[in-house]
Amino acid sequence: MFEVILYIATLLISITVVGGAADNGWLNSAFTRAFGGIGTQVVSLNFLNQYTNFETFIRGCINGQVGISGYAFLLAFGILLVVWANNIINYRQAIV
Amino acid sequence: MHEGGIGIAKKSNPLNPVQWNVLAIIFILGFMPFAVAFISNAGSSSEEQWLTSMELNDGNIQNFQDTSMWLENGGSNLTSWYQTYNMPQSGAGDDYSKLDCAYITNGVCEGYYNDTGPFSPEQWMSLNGNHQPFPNYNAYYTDDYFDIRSGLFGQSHHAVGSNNAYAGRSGSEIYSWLLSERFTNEIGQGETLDALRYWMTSGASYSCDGFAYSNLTFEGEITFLYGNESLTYTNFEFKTDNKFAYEAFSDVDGAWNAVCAYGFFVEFDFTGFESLEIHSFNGIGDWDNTSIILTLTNFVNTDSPDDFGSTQLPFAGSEGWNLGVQHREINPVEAGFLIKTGTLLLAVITLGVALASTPYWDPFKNFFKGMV
Repeated sequence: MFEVILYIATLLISITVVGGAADNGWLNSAFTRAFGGIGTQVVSLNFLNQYTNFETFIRGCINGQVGISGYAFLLAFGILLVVWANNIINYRQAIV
Repeated sequence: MHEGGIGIAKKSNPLNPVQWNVLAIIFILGFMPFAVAFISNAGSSSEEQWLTSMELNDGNIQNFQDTSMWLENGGSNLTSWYQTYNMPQSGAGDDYSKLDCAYITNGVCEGYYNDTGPFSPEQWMSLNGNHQPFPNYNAYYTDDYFDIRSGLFGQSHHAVGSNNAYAGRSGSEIYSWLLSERFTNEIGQGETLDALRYWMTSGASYSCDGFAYSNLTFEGEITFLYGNESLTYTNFEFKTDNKFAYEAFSDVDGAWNAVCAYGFFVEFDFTGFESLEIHSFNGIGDWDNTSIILTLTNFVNTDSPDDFGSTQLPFAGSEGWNLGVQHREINPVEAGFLIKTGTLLLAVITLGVALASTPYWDPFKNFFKGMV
């Protein structure tokens, strides 16, 4: 479950990076966009997993270690991801 | 008209889409990890008060009366050192003590040179005498040595032959031990761990000069076992040397002299959040029934990265080595309050950012309007 949350978060990051780069004339071919997107996602996912305790925190929230505060955080983070995904699809930017 | 158009556009949306996206990425990869780290560490102890974790045993804990055991002893890569200097011996009586457990994998002694194994622990001991350690041969006692309570444990190898004492010349891959509740049951019932520290030193002492001491890097992993459940923390990184200096009283000189052993300590410092996780995992601090798997991996001798064969490790020598355990505690009530309050605050901030990311509420735009 916590892997899915991190995958979605980093997928949004990679889409925004690739989209931004494409809008500015970079990553013009499908191959470079795919390479850039996958690279960005791998790097950001590794960063969150290896260099921060974000994954441990989310796992603890899911397992109830932080009580109702953890569930409140998961709900808020889920809403944030849904809003940003919707914004990226409709407006090509996370924050509108 | 043209200038006015630009002016209106800047006022309505002070940042372009890329800048908004950068802000979003900074929130996820910058703000969020810092906030989580701050919350996770809330309540962690800043004091350096280390307490004894192991029980005191004045007499030996006899063989097989403890469930502790070697799980791995360096990896299965038999080096040329080992093959050259640990040749199998034949004969009877003491010569059987030349049998050696070349490597241990997942608690099973493998890699026999005479290729007649595997033996049962009892067969192994009858062949090799009491000094030959099988993975779960555990006769040991504990003592308050170096002001730290520790036990003297058998190595997984021992000196073979007269001129080829085995000392740290096996693999560098993985060393692992299952440590029974005897290693933690001095931690008070109901107490919450902030950190664990394992002292590891060779049984023998050496001159502080003239011996090859090395700088090491390696990684650590710790697994708590309670009932049928396990809880693992990984990615601990250690950087140390293998020179453990202390002072010993010399009867000859009548003075305290500097003496060294091969050794170091490894410290597993848990975040406040992890401490609470451990606390609830083991039945609210039931340390009388909690075992630990301690694993150290990927050893590198940074002075000689391509040649680990002659590097001295305290637990890869002959005869015995000392293992001591200490811990630090935190107040679970205080830590729990700080972590839960911090998490709730982070949830409110995250929800606020989610709402501010919609067209219906524009606090960011209003903020940046004043700046642009």
